[in-house]
Amino acid sequence: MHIATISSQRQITLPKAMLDQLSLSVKDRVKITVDNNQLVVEPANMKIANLAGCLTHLIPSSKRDVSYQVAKEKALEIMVKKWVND
Amino acid sequence: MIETIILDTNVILRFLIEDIPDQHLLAKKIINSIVERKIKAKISVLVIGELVWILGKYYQLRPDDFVSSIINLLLIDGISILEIKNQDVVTLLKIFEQTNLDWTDIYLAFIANARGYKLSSFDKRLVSHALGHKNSGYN
Repeated sequence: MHIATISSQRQITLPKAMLDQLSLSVKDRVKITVDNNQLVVEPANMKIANLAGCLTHLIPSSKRDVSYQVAKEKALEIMVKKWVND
Repeated sequence: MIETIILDTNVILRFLIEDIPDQHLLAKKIINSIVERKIKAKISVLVIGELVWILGKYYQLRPDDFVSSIINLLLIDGISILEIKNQDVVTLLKIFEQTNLDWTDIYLAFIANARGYKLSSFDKRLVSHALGHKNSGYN
């Protein structure tokens, strides 16, 4: 744990050891969020390898390999059915 | 001068979903070129709307399944939103995640609030939403 003081410019110094742990260095961007009364600082540039295909595991096999055009048409059909039922 | 491209919904969709190998590879190459600062990219709020719509309605994903992935994409240096600031889209995506309001409605409420327009809508939930106090509905 590290205790930091917020400067008059609202800045804090991040310990180098912690940055090294996350492979972060000077000029890297970080994402800052407030979560459950905590200020969370995390690397903003998520590794592309982690982002590429990150939703694949959530897609049922029946909906894989479906072209964009077909997916769009099916989404419209679903919407129309919903409107009709409403 | 670095070339700027406009990303369409399908490129982003194929980048996030690895199901059609050649399209995923091509989408990954495009995103990698942006990360390597060889090109820059613009994304329209219309595309964000289409993306959240197709992920929700066709792929049946919940907003909290995919909103953070879209936000992470918008945090890449070299990707910017055409119409408004990236940071504003991040805020709107978080509102979308929390409320599941329609993307177009969220965007209209934001624009109305940011520019001092009055939002005319029959949707009480939208009008009463904390995006602004200037808006009122005709219910």
